[in-house]
Amino acid sequence: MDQYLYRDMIDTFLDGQLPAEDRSLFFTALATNEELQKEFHHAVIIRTATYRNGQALQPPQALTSAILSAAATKPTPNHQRPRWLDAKLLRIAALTASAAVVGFVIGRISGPHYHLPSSTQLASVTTVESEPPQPPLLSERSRATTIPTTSRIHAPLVDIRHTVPLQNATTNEDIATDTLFSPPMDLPNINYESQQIHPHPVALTNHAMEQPKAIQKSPESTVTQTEWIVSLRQTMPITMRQQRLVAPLSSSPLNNTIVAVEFRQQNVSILAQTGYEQFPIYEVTTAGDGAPRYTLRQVLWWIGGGMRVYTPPADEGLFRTLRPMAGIVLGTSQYGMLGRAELGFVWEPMQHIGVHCLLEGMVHSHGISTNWEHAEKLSASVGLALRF
Amino acid sequence: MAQLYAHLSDAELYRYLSLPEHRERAFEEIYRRYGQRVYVYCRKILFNTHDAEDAFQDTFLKFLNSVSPNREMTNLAAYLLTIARTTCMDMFAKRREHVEVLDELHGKWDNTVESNEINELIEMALQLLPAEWREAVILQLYAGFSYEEIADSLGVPVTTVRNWLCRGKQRLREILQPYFEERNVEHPTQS
Repeated sequence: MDQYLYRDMIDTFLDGQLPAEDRSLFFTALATNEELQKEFHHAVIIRTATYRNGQALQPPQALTSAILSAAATKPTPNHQRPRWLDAKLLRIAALTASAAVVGFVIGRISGPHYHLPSSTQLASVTTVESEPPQPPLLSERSRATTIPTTSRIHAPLVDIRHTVPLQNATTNEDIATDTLFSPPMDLPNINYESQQIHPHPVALTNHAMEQPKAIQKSPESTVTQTEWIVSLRQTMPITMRQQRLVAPLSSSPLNNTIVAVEFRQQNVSILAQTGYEQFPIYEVTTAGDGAPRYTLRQVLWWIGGGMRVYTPPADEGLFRTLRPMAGIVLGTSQYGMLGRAELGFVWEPMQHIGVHCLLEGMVHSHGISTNWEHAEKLSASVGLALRF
Repeated sequence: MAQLYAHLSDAELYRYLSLPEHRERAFEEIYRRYGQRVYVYCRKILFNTHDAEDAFQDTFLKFLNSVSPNREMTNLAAYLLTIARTTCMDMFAKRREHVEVLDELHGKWDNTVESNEINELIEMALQLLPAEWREAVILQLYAGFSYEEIADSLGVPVTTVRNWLCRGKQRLREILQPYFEERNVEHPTQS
């Protein structure tokens, strides 16, 4: 046997794989061959060093606890969850579609009312006045305000053609608004050159008719818009610390839900929010032997306040109803302080309805006077907002 | 209770993972048996402690998520090792910065364990071996896996593993030969 074969035998022997019949041969060579002895010695050194080194490497206690807690968490059996619920895109699409439908319906119900006199009212009017009844000539868009029915009953219906020369009117809307219920006699001189249009003459106050407010056309007289916004959003985690350890929550609609109440003035708002979200965070306790123990909590209740900034709505185009926004919220949970940052847009296609689409990052601090690990989460949320 | 599970075979423990009432204990026992060895493999393969811990955690979570009552587990160690290996390879694919590896080699070692000079030299010598040899040597010398477990996890015959190990360890000694001669290193048990 040559030297090379004996060298192979060194490792085979140390691995316990050398056949019994070859051992005596190997021992004989080892006893007589100095080179082989030296190499055997080096092989043992390497083996011992690596073995000790390997034994000294132990997974950190925190990592062990985290991994073991994954098994302790009762998984939600997949067969109990409808598969379609797992498709996030489908959920987002369904939520957005339902938001649009609800918004459309509520918008139609709560939007401007366009009342035209009923036939009964017209009849009563025509009996009072000598003028023959005239059908309404106005389209719905010509009346921007709701006129109480009681007023209209007493107001004679007059055709614009009988009262104001068309050439004196500025717009059809002006004509219609101002003269629909005007008496057929003694029309005042209406100064259409003026910045303020007085829709009704003073003489009209003799009629029990509610006076529409003057239409402000001056660019200086910008009205400050203030709104209360109540929104409800559903969040979907994109990534979060220890996400791999988190078992899926049940499909209850209350999970991962955020409610916000917001007071918006023009493009800035202040808000209060509360949320119930999946958010892995560890409670750190010390065992009797002094080693830290980590207990995974999965759900977080939190409440906070902050502000949002919106881009001003454009006069036309996509950004007339779509308003990018950013916000920040500071709050507290049952475990400690937290901060949230929001970036996204609000789609406000209707008077009272909006849809929120946000990307939200949340950082949970170490607990104050408690033993909680910090945690982070990035999520996307979609929700409905009602504006008043 | 824990002793009860300690007497179960790997295949039985794996079956228990599918039963909610046994899942936690069975997993603890599997972790106790193989956790350290898988951890050592991740540490030695990935150099970077943080990456190694991530890979280690991923390995057991993937294992837990892959549990199926229909699977007959014949070699749990090799199965775990296969998951660990795939996870580590994924990490390598993500982190291709060669410079980072060199930095690790030239002084960013986690010195909690590898403070010993010879260990550092062995680690560096390992990097000079062909990838297959290195992996086989790490699995055997550091993590203590058997020839069969290594063969199953790497998907090669046992004879190939034996050959890789033999060649790898011989090359390791050749690389370290100057150091041994210069320092006249004695056997650790004699020092």
